[in-house]
Amino acid sequence: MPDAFVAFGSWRIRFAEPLTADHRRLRLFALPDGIDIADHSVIEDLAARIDPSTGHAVEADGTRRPLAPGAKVSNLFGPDIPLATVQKIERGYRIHHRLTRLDPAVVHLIRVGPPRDADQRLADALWSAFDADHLPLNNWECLYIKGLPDTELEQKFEIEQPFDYFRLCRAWWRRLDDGDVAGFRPQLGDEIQYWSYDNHFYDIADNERGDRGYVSIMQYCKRKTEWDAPMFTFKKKIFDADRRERWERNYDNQWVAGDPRTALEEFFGYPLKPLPQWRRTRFDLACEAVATGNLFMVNFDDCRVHGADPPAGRLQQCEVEYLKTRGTPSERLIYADFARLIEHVEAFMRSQGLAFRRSNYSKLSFLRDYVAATTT
Amino acid sequence: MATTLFLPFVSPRDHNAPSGRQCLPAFVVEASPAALPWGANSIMFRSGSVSARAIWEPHGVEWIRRETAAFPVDFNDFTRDHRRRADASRQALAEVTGRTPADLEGLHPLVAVMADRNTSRVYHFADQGQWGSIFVRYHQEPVPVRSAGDVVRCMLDGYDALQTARRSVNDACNYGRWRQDLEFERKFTFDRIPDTWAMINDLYRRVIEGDIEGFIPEVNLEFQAFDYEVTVFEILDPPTEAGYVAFIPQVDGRVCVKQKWFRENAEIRKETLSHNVKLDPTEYEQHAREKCAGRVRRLPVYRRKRFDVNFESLETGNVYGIFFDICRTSGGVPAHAFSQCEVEYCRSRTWGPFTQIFEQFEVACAYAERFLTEHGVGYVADLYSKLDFLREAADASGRRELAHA
Repeated sequence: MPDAFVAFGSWRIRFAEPLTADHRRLRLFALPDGIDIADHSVIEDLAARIDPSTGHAVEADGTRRPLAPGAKVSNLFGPDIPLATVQKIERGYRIHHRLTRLDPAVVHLIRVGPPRDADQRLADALWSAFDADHLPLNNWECLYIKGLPDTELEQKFEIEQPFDYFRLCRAWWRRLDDGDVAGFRPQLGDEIQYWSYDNHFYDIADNERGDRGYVSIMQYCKRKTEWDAPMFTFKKKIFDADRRERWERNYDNQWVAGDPRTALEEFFGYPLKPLPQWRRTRFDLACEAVATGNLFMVNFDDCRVHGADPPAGRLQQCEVEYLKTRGTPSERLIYADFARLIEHVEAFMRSQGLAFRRSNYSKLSFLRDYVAATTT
Repeated sequence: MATTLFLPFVSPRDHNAPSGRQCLPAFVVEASPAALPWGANSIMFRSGSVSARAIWEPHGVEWIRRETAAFPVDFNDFTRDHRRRADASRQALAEVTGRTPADLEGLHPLVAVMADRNTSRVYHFADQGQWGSIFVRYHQEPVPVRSAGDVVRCMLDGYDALQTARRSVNDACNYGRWRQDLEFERKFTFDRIPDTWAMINDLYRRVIEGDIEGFIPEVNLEFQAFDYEVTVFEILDPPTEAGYVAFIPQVDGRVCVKQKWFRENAEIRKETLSHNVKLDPTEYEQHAREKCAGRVRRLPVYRRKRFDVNFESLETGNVYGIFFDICRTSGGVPAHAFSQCEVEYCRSRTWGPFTQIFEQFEVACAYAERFLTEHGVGYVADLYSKLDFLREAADASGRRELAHA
């Protein structure tokens, strides 16, 4: 007899609605093999993974009954929903993960806080558990907290051979979504992010604040008023040398009607030195470390200076970057997951026949080097 | 001339390079769009919905057309099933074009041309999700496209338009929104608390199945659930600020501050939302007073459980949502509750001027009313606002606990 289950029950339990005895009737199915109850996140097509023949019913008072033959399990669209993973313990049940997102083909169950022990009346215990944590659990795309505030943690790789960003990004996506990157799943809700945008890019000149780095206008905007409104995203990155951790902040929805340099000088208050306009094209493939809820992205990008003749003015890199955490971030766990993911990415690049080395070579250095090489 | 779909397969690397010119396709697939959901604004490439009937390949300066036995053309790769179909499609294309499947991995139809007797519309890839890839129109010509040569001419003609549109091809940047400062919604208030979960499930399933003609589930934003407390302050004066300020807690400890301006309930109201505000609940009232520079009245806290289905028009890109919610007072006040359906204009995934915002809103509202009627839900289209609900709760008047269905 298994001791770990997925508990299915009424949506009213999840949303703390009034319950009748019927609503308190649960169905428990054996937790499928390969799902680790110790993980932070369970992101699975439970309808496909659960064996319906392993199920039994649990009444409001904890009485167990067999299910009628032919039980069916759904993610969404069924008569009940997957509420939690639970473990049978001596006095009742231990509640581990609870539902946070439900789609036709995937279920996301997550830990919020430590496991909660309950007596035999599991439905009531689940009702209380959801009620207590409805803010983190029941709000779509809201359970994110960024660790390392204002710091970009990113590992870059210089890749020796020219590569096709489109093939490489898709190949990594396939590996990730097929479940072949152990311990990581696509970030449900933000799986593939397509990017190809031009940059107006400026070196920060000597200034009273002593800041060094760059500011730029990225030619995209998430909240445009009209489709062709001149609205963009500003970026400020402060660093005195290329390194893995840098201060970074984006400023959304900026209207630029005139000269880009003037707009940035007025906005940031720095004197600026122009560098060549360039275009950055990539997919960001976002993933979640299921053991911790830390979210990262991997990309293979293709950066090109406008009007340059490749290979001059072309920079191709791989980047691995920490994004945020579904839950309370732990710096130690962020760095540990970051290291594991980097190893996966390195193994992937080797499998693609690529020669590479770890690097912190920045876009600023790339553009400075390009200018130096083309003006001498 | 029946409508024909042309899919120019380009190298994405070259297509996105800042070379100042449109790269040319390696070959063009001609297909029938019969099974394809599409409209003047967008095309939804569901896997299994495109069947090739000819291949155009360059031969010097000419394009040579070769008819083929029908085979499915699939290029989505979001899900495992997508990839299985795309692999099979590449295998079929390899046989037809004499290329290897590995070569074809580097070619993709980032542009699509839909041509009928009078018009040729040129669309560009915008986003991909569980239902497939969505393309949005960026160029149109009042002449038919009959050949791959015409397709290339259209792409070249549309190149300048694409330079503006490409800003919208980036992640979460597909959209514009008519009047960002306004909320545009219609409410249907229920006479009881129905099984809102069963209803939203049925609505979502119908939207997936194409029950709202000309609309598809909004890619990657189609189904959402929410459950949060709201602390509301009614603005008593000045009259120019009439309405309310609401505080909604975020998971990270910060707060979303919402302000609505209205003297009477209305379908269009001015609204602002400020996320990530650092405020302690003890500071809410002072903050509300500062927002309106006047007097406010604290109303009972309520908890809102809300389920959303969003759908987008293939004709215009307009996105509307149908939401079912249950609102209950919380804390130490007498229990009040009500349940409502809201139909709201959300945003527009379009790379041209906004069109038919109001006309399609009526389509969405009519669909919602039909849906409620079919579910046997009694309702009134009454604009009943959350402010009405909270005033009644504060004054211990009006609706108390409503019966459950």
